[in-house]
This record gives sequence, C-alpha cells and structure tokens, in this order.
Amino acid sequence: MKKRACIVVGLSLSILFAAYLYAGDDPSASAASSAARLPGIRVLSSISNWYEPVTFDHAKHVAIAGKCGACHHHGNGNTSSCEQCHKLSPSVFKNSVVNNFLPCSGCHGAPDRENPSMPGLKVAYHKKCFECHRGMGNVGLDPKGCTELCHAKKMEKVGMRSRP
Amino acid sequence: MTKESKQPADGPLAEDKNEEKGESGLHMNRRVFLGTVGAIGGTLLLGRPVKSHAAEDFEGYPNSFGLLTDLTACVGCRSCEKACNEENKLPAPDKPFDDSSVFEEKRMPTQKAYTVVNRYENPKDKSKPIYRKIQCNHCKEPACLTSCPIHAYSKTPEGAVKYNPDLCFGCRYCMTACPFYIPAYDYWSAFEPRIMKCTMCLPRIKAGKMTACAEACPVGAITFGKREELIKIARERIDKNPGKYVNHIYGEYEVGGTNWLYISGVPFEQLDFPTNLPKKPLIEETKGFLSAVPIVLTAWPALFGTIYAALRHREEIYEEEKGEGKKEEVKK
Repeated sequence: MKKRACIVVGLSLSILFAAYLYAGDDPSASAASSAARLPGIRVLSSISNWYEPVTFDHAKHVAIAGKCGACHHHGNGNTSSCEQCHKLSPSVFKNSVVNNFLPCSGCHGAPDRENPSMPGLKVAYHKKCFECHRGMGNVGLDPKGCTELCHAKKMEKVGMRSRP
Repeated sequence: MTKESKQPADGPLAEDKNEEKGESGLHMNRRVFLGTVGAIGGTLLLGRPVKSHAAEDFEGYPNSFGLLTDLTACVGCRSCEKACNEENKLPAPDKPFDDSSVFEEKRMPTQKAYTVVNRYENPKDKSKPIYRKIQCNHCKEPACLTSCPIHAYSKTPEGAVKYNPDLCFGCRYCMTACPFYIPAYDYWSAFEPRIMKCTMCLPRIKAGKMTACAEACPVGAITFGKREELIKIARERIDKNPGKYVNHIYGEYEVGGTNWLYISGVPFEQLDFPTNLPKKPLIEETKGFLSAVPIVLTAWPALFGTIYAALRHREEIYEEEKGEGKKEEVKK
C-alpha cells in the first residue's frame, strides 16, 4: 500500500515537473488541465498499408516517457512560425504551450521529395517509437519484430506479381 | 673530285667536305624530314589523347535526384526489399521478406532482387547490429555505360543509370566494369536474357514520386531528394553528431561521385564498401589508352612505314654507290 502511494506521488510529481518545464511559473493549473485533455487511446490508421493500424495509448506513454514533449517535439528549427502551434496572446500563451500539442500529422504528412529534410508521417512515427522501442524483444532487430509490440501484419495481397 | 667524297658521311665536317651541293642537300633534307615526321608523330600520339573531347570533365546533371542511406538509422526490416520487389514485379523471393535467416550470409543483388540488406556487427553497440542496403549507386559517370559497346546504358538527367534491354546483346562487359559488382545477368531466361539492376524507379521519378524503397522505409534510413540537397543534409547530420557518424559521405566523390550517398557510424570498409576507389570516374583510367587506339592503328603504320622506306632508300643508295666504287677500283 505504501509502495503504491509512493509511485502515485512520484508519478504526479514528475508530471507536474514536466508541465512546469513548459509552463514556467504556473505549474499547477496547466498540469491539471493537461492530464484532463490527454487524447487517450488513439488508433493510428491513416497510413496503414502492409500492417494493421497501431493502437496508441497516450496515458501509458506519458506515464513512462514523463512528458508529452518527449514525442511532440519542438520543431527542429524547421517550424515555420510560432502561430502554427501556439496561441500568441499573452493571457493564453502559457496554457497553449502546455496543452496545444499537435498530432504528428499536424506537421508530418506525405513525404515530399522537394523537402527531403522533413520526415513524412510514417518516418516521424517510427523514429519516435524506435527511440525507446528498438531492442525491446526483436523490435528493430528482426523483420518479424515489427509485429511483436506494435502492429500485426496484413494478409499478403494475392496476384501482386505478374512475372513468375 | 673523287668518289670517296661523295660517300654518305656523318657529321658536319663530312658535309663541309662535300663539293656537290645536291648530295649534301639530300642528306640534310632526309634528316630534317625524319625529325619533322617524328615531331608530328609525337605530337599526334601525346597531344591528341589529352585534348580529346571525351576527356572534358562531366560534373553530372544539375538538379538530378539521388538517395541518401543513413546506415545508423536502418533497422533491417527489409521493407525496401519488399517494396522494390513489388514495384519491379520481380519473382517471389526464396525466403519471405520477414525472414531474418537471410542475414546469416552476405548477399549481393541478383536478377531476382535489385536490392538486398546485409547485417554487420556493430562495434559500438553489439546489441544493435548495422544493416547495409546494397543496390546500383547510379554513378554520375558510370563505368557500365562507358564499357558498353552498344550504348545500352544511359545516364538520365533525373540521375538514374538506365539500361535498355532492347539494345543489349549480352556481352556483360558492364558486369566486369562496375566497381560495385552490381549488374546481374538473367542467366535463367533462355530467350530473353538481360542485365538486371536497380532502375532508381525512373518511371516513378518521372511521375513526380520517389523511389519505392525510399517511400517504404519506415525509419527514414533512405531519403530521396535532389543530390545537392542530400549532400547538405548528410553534412549537417555529421556536423551535428560528430560522435555518431564518421566524417565521410560515401558517394560524394567515389568514382567521380554517385547519385546514391551513404553516411555511417563506422568506417565504410568495415561494412564491405570498396574504399580503394579513385575520386576520378573510372573512364579516366582508360580514356588515354582508348583514344590512342585509332591513332596507333592509322598514324603508326604511316609513320613507321615512311621511316622504313627512307632508311631502305638510304641503304639502297649506299649499296649502289659501294658497288660502283668497286667497279672503278677494278677499272683502275
């Protein structure tokens, strides 16, 4: 019982600290609203092709990674303008910094050959996943590892190859 | 005037002794003639190959496309192999694309697979092996193209080294010329054998898309874009993470530059990349010799024939005069 209480306290402190990093001197209010506005479990299906869609649990990942910003990174110096993600009016700026995370697809779309330094959505997803998941089991080490934690393989399409 | 003074003699003193201007004039003319012929021949042999048209530097097509393989990013999922197989309608592989047992041996592209991924031990982190994708590097000045006697290869402005099976008559010079051992031959096709190699998905590029492998790669290990831009991206990655990468963009200068570029965390020779290649295109090694061939076949017979004829003529005169001298002695 004591252990569980300690973990809960520790987790909430870490979330508060993560929020504090983003919200400056007003941690309590924004952290509470951040937890309330977590997107929860999302099915990432927009680019599913060879593999089934991925079911992504935000709460589980925030609990482990500690902060939303671990994945929802801050541009890379390539973000075109602050307004793209944040509301710039002084009264709501801090709140918008903490709460207005764009989904990956908010910036990353279909890969663009005219802009090769900008990863497409598939690459953006996988790069972030592999930062932690590579080496868990066979993920990122064996082609079969793709199906271990993340997504099942779809059935092979029949009649794809015309030349024997 | 004696006959002795008329005999061909060497050196200016002997010439001074000559009273007949005609004889000494003939002698000098021959020497000047031989010298001139020699000088002309030498100029032809030495000057021509250096200034031949083919020797001019080719900087590659501006704005051509290329690919950048980041060997630190590849996770060996073999999606590129699968995408390439589907795009080019190649036969089904012996082992499925999610079978990792293929990594047990080092593979090369074949007539059934334009690209293959090999696994190498990572000296920095044994738990995370390095995967290396192999395919045609699409040289800016390809040796396969220059070795092809029938121009079945062409370098397109898009950057691809294109092969035309309708022209190819199967000499397979390209296979021996390629410094990366890439072109494979379809020995199993009895009636329509042809060279099989990566096409850089030229039809897709022309349709405004990227190559199938680049599109399939889930981790961004294959980046498609303008070659010049890819070099900047590669340079930036190396500069930002000097501990992560070795300071070398493979393909920037190798054999005159290739449209497929690589950056790596370990020295390239550890991943079986040929690292003994010159910075010049391979054609530079043979260009001088090859451009001399037509001259050797035409100018040399003429040159040496003339020299031989001149020497023969001189000997004939000498023999003739010797004979006449003897006769006179006999008369005396």
